[in-house]
Amino acid sequence: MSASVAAAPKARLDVVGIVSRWGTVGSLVLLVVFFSLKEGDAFANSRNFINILNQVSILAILAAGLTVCLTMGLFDLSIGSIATLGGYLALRWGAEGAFGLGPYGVLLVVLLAAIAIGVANGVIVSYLGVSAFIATLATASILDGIALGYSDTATVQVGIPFQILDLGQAKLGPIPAPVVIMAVVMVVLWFFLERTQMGRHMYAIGGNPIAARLAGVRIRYYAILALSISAVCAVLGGTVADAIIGAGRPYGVGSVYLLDAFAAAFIGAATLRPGRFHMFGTLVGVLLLGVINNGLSIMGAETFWQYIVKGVILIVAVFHSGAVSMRRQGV
Amino acid sequence: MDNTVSGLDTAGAVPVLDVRDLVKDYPGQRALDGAAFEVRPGEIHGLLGENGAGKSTLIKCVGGVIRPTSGEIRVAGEEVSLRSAKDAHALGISIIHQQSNLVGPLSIAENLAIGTSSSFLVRPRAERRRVKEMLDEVGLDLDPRTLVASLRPHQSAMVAVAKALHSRAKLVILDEPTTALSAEETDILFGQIRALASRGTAFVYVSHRLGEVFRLVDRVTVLRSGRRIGTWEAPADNQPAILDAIVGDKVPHRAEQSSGPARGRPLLEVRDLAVEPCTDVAFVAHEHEVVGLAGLTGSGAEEVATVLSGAARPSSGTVLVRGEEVRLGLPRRAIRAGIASIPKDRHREALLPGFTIRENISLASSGRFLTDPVSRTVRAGRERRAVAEAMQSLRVKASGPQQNVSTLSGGNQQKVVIARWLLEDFAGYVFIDPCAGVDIGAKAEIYNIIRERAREGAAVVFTSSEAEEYQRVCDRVLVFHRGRVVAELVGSEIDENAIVRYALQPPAEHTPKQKETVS
Repeated sequence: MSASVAAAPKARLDVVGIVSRWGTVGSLVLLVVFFSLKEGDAFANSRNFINILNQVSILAILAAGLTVCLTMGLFDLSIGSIATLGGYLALRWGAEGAFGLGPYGVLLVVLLAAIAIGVANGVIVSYLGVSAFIATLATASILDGIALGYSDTATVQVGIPFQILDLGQAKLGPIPAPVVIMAVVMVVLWFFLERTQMGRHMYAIGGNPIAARLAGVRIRYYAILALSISAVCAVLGGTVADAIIGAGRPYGVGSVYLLDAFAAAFIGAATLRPGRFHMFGTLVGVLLLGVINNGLSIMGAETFWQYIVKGVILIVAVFHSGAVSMRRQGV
Repeated sequence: MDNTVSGLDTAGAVPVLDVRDLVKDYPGQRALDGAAFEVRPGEIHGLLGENGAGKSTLIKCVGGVIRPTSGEIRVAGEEVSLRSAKDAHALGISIIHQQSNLVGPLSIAENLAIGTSSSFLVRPRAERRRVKEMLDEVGLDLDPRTLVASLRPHQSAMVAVAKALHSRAKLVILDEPTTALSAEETDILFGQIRALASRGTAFVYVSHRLGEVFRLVDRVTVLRSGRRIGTWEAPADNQPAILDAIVGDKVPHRAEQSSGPARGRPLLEVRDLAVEPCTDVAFVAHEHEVVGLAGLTGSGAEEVATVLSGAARPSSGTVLVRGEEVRLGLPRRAIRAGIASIPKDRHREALLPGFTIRENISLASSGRFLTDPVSRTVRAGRERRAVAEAMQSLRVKASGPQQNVSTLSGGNQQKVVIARWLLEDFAGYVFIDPCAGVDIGAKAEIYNIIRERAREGAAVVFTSSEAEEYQRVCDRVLVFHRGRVVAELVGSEIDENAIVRYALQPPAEHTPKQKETVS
């Protein structure tokens, strides 16, 4: 995917512009080079690279769905809680053989539940007029409560069917299942955003909702669609996370990924097309976070460094995209 | 204020404000060209002129908001140099706009306390008492705890006046304060203004509504093209002369008057439409026809056009496209029914900033390029070709469809907005002031685009803030005044003079039927 948005005519000679568009990709490359030189044996080998992909897969699945929401300016803070509840339900219902549907039937039911949650989020946002930030904060709390109440805070560990555990533990050749799921989700959503009318409309709503409405775009419908997509991604991510460990935990699964998903998406918005959220950018953001975590831990740096470096990179990236998008509009 | 208490017979006194030979140049345009007027103590002075005559520039100079290029402003006989609004304020000049600078969600007391209270801690009860006094002074009987947002416009105007008086304003400039008022509310407001004027405060009253101005003011100054045309005492007795001064001698020029192909079938039909301020508007636009809706701001012309676009929901009435009723208030329905609209404010309502020209043009019609209705994948090649074609036919000056729309000139941006509606054929086109903020060259091209729509068979509805444009593009013009259509001009009758006259004062209002009520 090449940069399909031509920047301002002057941009060819514009060093700042180039740096800010390629800055995140550049830092990713630099980090890989740095860790390879420093920790050659442990870092730079295909097993570790696949390991990094495996480590970021859950984050990537959640961040991909979040990116769809962010294109139209919706902050979905409920993805962490949806992931926790979705993963728990998938493993518990799978273990109980609920509905007599078998493991795949259960997965389907859980995904339908995800759509229901997304639609509820969307209706609250578009028909009740509550801002997505607050609405999803509220539903997150409700879903957390449901998960704790329904589970009685007990973890499901026994009797989970292998079809569900495979989502986290199977391998396709050398490639772990979570990486495959991540790739499918990102490709599908990339196509959705870049090549379909629905993606175009979502970007348009993010760019100028008033203009989009006057051009006949159904803003409420798209809010519901976007929040449903991120809910489905969250449930997928949560199920994979629980499947990897082999335990359905009713708390603490998704919340780990919530802020990192936002960080990845915002780093992505600073990549190639400054000021726009897009799938490739989100992938770069996810990889950047993954490489930092992996490389620093191989180097033996203490965990707190991961957090500090992550924060600094986020600020630098967003500062650049902000500066550039202001300039783009100001000309 | 001590020496001018009488309010009567102050003609000989030193003027509160004396503006002489004021010139203000903007790049490529002279907004003021020797403007002048003077305001006596205790006088209510009307400032009249068409859109673009220089009224607002003049007021901004007096208010210190902008600095004149040359000329003299004297306050109480002394020449002053106003560097900021604060300077003007310190000299006792206060400007009150239609959207007054009051904070809606706060109470009257809180609003008046901003900037008038000296204590650090808020003492609600003392403050309420003080504010009550301020309100009494301007004749408002309101609870200081009332939220400003819940006030009627005449009340919030007077609250703003109260605030101005409290900061010792000697001259209050009211800029179009009554556009949203009923006749009764206007009477109340005028009574309060007169009472204050008789106690020595001078007022400058800027308005389009001649009837009102004549009832209220002591003298009138007319501006045209940035110059003073004249000042009249007893304006009510000099109405014809004042009207002539406002309109001026205009040479009608018709760059492209349609020879007018015979009226085709009716395409757009409006029946019994009621939308503030209109109560009952009906008209038909036929195929091959450009119908202008003319009128001053707030007259209803633009409001009716906005209803046609689907952007506003009327309180009642129907719109039919090719005989089929359209569900109103939803842009999407209007578009589906076959009405394309170019909204008034292209930055706020039309452009996707920072997006490519392609994305901007194909926004409304990307449905034409889909591979299938399920995945709704856009065929990029077809889309790009259609966009390029539309850009070419409207002569959009750009490096290509991928250029960032925000880097284009105003005229080219407007062409992009129009091109959005040319990828498909629509029965009706609504152009709401399409040439605002567009350079002259692009204007001529946009007129041609509008005529071209009609030539190809569409019915076009057109509004503009410049009366001169109607004669260039319209086959027929309906002139609105206070929510009613007061004149219909066809073909060669369409002329700027006639439009402005009807818009300012329809024939019925020439008869002095106004009752003089002072409350």
